[in-house]
Amino acid sequence: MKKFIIYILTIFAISACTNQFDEINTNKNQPTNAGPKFLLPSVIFNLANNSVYAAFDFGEIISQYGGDYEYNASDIYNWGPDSRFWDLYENLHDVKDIEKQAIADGNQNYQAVALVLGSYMTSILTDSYGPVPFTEANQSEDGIYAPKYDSQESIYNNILDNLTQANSLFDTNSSIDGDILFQGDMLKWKKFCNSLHVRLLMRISNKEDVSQRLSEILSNPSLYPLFESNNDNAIYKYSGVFPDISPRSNGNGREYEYHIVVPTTHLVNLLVDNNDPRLNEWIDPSAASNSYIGLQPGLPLDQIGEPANYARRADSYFESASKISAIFMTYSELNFLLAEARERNIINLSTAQNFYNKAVQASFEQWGVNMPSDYLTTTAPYNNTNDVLYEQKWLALYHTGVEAWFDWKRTGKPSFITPGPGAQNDGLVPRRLIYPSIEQSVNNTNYQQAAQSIGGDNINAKVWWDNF
Amino acid sequence: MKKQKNLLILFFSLLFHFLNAQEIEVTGKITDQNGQPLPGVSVIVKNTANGVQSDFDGNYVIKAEKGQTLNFSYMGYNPKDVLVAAQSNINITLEEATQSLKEVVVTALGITRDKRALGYSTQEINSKDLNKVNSTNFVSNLSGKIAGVQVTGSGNGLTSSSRIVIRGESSLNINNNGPLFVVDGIPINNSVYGVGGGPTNQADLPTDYGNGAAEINQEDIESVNVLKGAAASALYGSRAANGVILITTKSGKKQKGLGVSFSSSTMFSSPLKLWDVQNKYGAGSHLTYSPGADTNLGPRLDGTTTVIQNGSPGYYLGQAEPLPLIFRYNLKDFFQTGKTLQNTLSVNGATDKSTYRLSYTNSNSNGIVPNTNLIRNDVSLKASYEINSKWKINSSVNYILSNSDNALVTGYGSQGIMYNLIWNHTNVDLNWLRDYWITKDVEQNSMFSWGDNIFKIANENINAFRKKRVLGNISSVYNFNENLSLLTRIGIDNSGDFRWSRRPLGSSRYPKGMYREQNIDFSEINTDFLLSYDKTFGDFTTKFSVGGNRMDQFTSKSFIEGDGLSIPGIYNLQNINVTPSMSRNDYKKRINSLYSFANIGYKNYLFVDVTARNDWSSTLPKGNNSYFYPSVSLSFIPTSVFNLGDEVDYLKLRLNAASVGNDTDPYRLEKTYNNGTLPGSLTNPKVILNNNLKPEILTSYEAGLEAFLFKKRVSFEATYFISNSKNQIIGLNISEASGMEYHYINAGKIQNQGVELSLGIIPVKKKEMEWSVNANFSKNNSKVIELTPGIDNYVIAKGPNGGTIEARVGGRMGDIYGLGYLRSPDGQIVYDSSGSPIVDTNVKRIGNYNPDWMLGLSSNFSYKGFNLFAQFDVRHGGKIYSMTNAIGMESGLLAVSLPGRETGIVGPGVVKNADGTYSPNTTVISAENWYYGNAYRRNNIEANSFDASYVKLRQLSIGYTFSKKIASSLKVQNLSIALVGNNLALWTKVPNIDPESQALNGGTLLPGFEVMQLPSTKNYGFKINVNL
Repeated sequence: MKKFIIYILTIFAISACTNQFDEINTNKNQPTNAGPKFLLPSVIFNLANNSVYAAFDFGEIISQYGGDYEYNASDIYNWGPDSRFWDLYENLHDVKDIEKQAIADGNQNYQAVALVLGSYMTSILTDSYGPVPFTEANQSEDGIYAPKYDSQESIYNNILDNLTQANSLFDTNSSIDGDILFQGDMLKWKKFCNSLHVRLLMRISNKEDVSQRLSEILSNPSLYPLFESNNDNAIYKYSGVFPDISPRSNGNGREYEYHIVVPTTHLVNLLVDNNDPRLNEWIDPSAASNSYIGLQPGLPLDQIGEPANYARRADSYFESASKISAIFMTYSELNFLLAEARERNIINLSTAQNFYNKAVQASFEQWGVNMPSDYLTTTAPYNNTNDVLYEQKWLALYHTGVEAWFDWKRTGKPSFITPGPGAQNDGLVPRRLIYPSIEQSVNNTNYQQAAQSIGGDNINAKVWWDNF
Repeated sequence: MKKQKNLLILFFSLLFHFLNAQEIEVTGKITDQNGQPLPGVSVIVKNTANGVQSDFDGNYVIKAEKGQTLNFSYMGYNPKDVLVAAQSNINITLEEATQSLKEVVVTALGITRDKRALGYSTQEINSKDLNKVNSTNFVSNLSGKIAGVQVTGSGNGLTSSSRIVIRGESSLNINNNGPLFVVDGIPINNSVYGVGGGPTNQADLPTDYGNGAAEINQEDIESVNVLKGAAASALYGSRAANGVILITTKSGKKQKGLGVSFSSSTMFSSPLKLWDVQNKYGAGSHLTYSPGADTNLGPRLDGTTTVIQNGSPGYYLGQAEPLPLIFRYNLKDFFQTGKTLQNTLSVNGATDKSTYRLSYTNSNSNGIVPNTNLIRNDVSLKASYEINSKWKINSSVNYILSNSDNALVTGYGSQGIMYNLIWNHTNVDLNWLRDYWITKDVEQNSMFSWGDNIFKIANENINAFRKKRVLGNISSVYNFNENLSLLTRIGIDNSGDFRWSRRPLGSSRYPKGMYREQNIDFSEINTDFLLSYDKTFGDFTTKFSVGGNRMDQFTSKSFIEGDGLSIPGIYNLQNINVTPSMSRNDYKKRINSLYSFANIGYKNYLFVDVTARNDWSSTLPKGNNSYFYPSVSLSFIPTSVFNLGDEVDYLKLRLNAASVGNDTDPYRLEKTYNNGTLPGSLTNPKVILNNNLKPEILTSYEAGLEAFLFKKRVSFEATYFISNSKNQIIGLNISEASGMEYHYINAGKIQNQGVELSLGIIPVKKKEMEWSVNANFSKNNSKVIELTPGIDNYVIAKGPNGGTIEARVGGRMGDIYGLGYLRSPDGQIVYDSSGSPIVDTNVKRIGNYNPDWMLGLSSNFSYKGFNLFAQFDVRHGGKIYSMTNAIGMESGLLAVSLPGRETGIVGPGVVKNADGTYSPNTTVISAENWYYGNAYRRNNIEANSFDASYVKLRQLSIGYTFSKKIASSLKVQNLSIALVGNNLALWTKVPNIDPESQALNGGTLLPGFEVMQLPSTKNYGFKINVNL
């Protein structure tokens, strides 16, 4: 018996010591390494989803293309803490990871792509919130868990430098894997890089003299290629094969949520008045009266009434799994920017009308509808004012993130964007998002400093470039 | 060696036999103090291997010699020693142990000990008390029965989980505050494995499939012992830091009759509390009917308006007839009477060398929601066998097959029952919705395009499961001699839980249909040995033990979901016509442990226990994976030393100190990438791992006293405890701008302090009548002393609508934070110019979900065969956020939304003037803008939170046990019947819901938040017990 006991104890002891105790805790479910080609699709896809959500659920409301008939807090400027773009930081982490690996591997194209995507996302963050973490952001793996916020001015200096650097890094003779935006076409990336550069320079054009920097880009098309047609557009097109479906289309979302935002009087009336064929592309007539009736923006909830009385977002965009796209930046937008720059004599190339005409024409092309032949001569001819330019740009920016809001903050155009009858916020159109509330818990010191630097974390504080 | 030893023993006993010619045959009868014969009493000649058991009539025969001592022992009775003189007939009366204050209790590792020797608090519930009422989740039956134990049900249907916390929450990990469940010495899994997302996840609401321990068959339970503090549970190591629920199952006994028992319980259930629905106004707004309106702010339901109504028969085909607008909505048209039928058949018995018990239980429940059910089949066998006088083996196997054809999703979303009931019209007859398809698998007869039909959800949104679970153990005890023994044991808990969900085509969330499979495999194997040395030196009794345990845990989770089906009505993998989302993950963990303990007693009035344990966990980094923790406890019985007067029968003082170490979950040390949404893509994790993690340490101190007074008519127990838990391994939220959401660190110092009081009084005790009253009171305060330098708050869990459960330095565990009203300096609500209350953008403390104190009160009255038992649960204090309230206001369905329908509302409070002063708010706001607009916006956590205090009539039973005479005339040993009920009545200030509700976030129970849970049920029925 004693032998038996000793035997048992020995077995116990031996098995306790061996059996790779240390290996038990090795996670074999997931990889410890992920190269840029695996990370890049995630970055682009997440960015695309963020962009679609931003456009369909929020951007269109704040820019008064549409109004929410049921939860109208956004419409009447009853805004609270908002994390909708803060989530981009997690995406930026993959971008930083790609950049680090690209530098280590000497892969300039991945590095440049990372810089472009990083600048793009950072610009949306700072344009929405104002000061945001930048220099210390995305360094959790180096132990920074509560990054300090940088001023928008310094962020802009950095991202503009990054775009210059990215442009110099691109090697258009080679390609990259995992690029679901441009399928490895580095020239298209380079064009996006410089077109974005133009957008961001124009963004700060009320604050800084950007004419020299713009001219340098425009005068060297071979060194700084820009979008040359709609083929170059930075638009993510969902394949329509699950899970590659837009978050607002059938199969991913409810019809109810797609239709909860109904087109406004601004959008419907402008399109109807202009006899603009984009109307039929974008909007279906109201179910009740089969007519194009828009919703007045910013109505108090109790005056909205039945959604069936209003025109609706086109069903085709919901029904087709691949029709909604994530629009980052287009050839049309570039030309609108250049038209404005020319009009304001920031650049002296070509004519504002030329750029304007190209921009309008490109927008029709982009949406696959024919521009009526008299559109640029009779309906909406260029007339040397910001008003027509920005009305047309506003139309062209439909479904494009919150871009039209950024334009409004900078220019006050189109001037029909005004608080509705139900608006709270003392009759002001909001100019920024409130930081996510969790920052008050996890990054309070830096949060307080940032809030103080803009005169309080409220929706009326202006970001640095916003001096309209 | 063995052979030699046996030969030696044989030789000496033969020699002894021959030398001792005075051996006589002793006979006698053993009875209890009432004169009833006691079968199965063990009779041993002391210091020999010679022993017998009494027969069914309590008679025994044993050979002994003059001068030897006979020892009579029987579980639950005081043992007796009698010297054999010349007499050949020794009749013995054994006294019940409780009568003489000797209470044998089961302690850690299944060791039974005299309660007087324990230096820590432990409370026992026996099967009689536990099984008064049957329940589909036996854990819920523990509520209110033990001081310091908080059990919270969920309101998620038949498979609802119960959350159990002992002595308050000490862990910052909200899933880690539960006790360890141990069945017959083997730890079992009590996890909640959820499926689905958060409680407001529109696309994917969670389903509660129950906590693991819910499956334990209560009819098999002999006793439940609750080890509350660290000292009591230290020997179980890490996982017992929050206490242990020690379950001992019934074993076979020698007895009269066949040993066959049958018990049958039939329970009916109905909603305990339904919404208070307003019956004055119909659908629409501005007092005008509108069929598409979400809200019930329409016209008066006085029948004067006749109109075609949304939801009415033929409405969607354009064939509806105009009907008068009257109140038709009745929740009872949807909910039905639930039914649970539970039958247990068991056979048990014993021979001289073996015991056995075999039982089968079938439990069949139908819920209050149509087409929901839960079926359990449970077979168990427990047996012991004495191989020889020194070696005994025990084994038990329990196979549990649980399945449900439909368990519901709960929460706020278009697939939720309560969601589609609250977004509904008061003028609608719910029966109109019974015919739920307009075109099968294409279009539902639902009120709104964004919701599902409630009957369609119940009948077609299936979440089914089939879970097979085996609990088994085999143990061997070898007594080398009367001092030294060795226990070896292997125990296993293995379960395979296969779940599938179906959504037909035409569902609002899954227009193309959906099919999902989820598989959760779990196994835990525990291997133990325990070597004990027992010896008495003069006035000292001592026991020294050394033991070891190895725990191997394996969990595998796989998941596949396709959001598109080719052929309607076919639900399987091959019918999915889209790229499915899939995953499979395995998790492994091992803990090796060595422990030892010493129990020393002096003159049976002073006892000291010392324990020490060292664990090696695979989940911690190499340098930090070994951790040691000791405990010491002391018990002193002054009544055995001093005369404290006649009133004091017994007094015990106890004191202990203990620490317990804890590890963490697997794979928290090295970074790995997550899969991205697109196939073949990867993304960074959201968490920073940490390969410098240290074990967590919980230290606790406890002091208490136990007393019996006035001839044992009064019993009293009081305990004060304080515990500190530090170095907790938590995923601390960090700024998302850092690129990740949280990082694992050792942080936190949580202090729990509390008192537990138990009082038992027997006001009446006569031969045939007894009345006893018991009270269990507990009060606990868990305080966050510190987190980590620079961090003063930690989000423990995220609730719905921005509400959080946070640990903030200086705050209590269980504090709820969220948005609330903007208030003026003197605390009044501030309104804007439209008359809407302003929501403060700063989050604030809303309250705490833990009660300030809990009280369980029970009364037991018996007269002859009659027995009346009632138990009340009182919970005082605590807050609960009610999303039902928020949405009931928005939809205007609930009566709370009636004021100001026609006149508008002036919110009580102030407006801020331009000069910074405040003046009373006088702005009239329309009911539309008040209810549907801002006043009770769901993210205004403050506006929708309530004092969660309640009193519940938890259990009631009126029973009758037939007299022996009647029983034997029916040819049975025992027959009893009872009318029983639980959760029969509720008193609370919380409107519309049972405050004992909690939301589910995936697999995490979220106390403090009610997110459209199903109504909890009152259950009533009858129970029959027969012994043959």
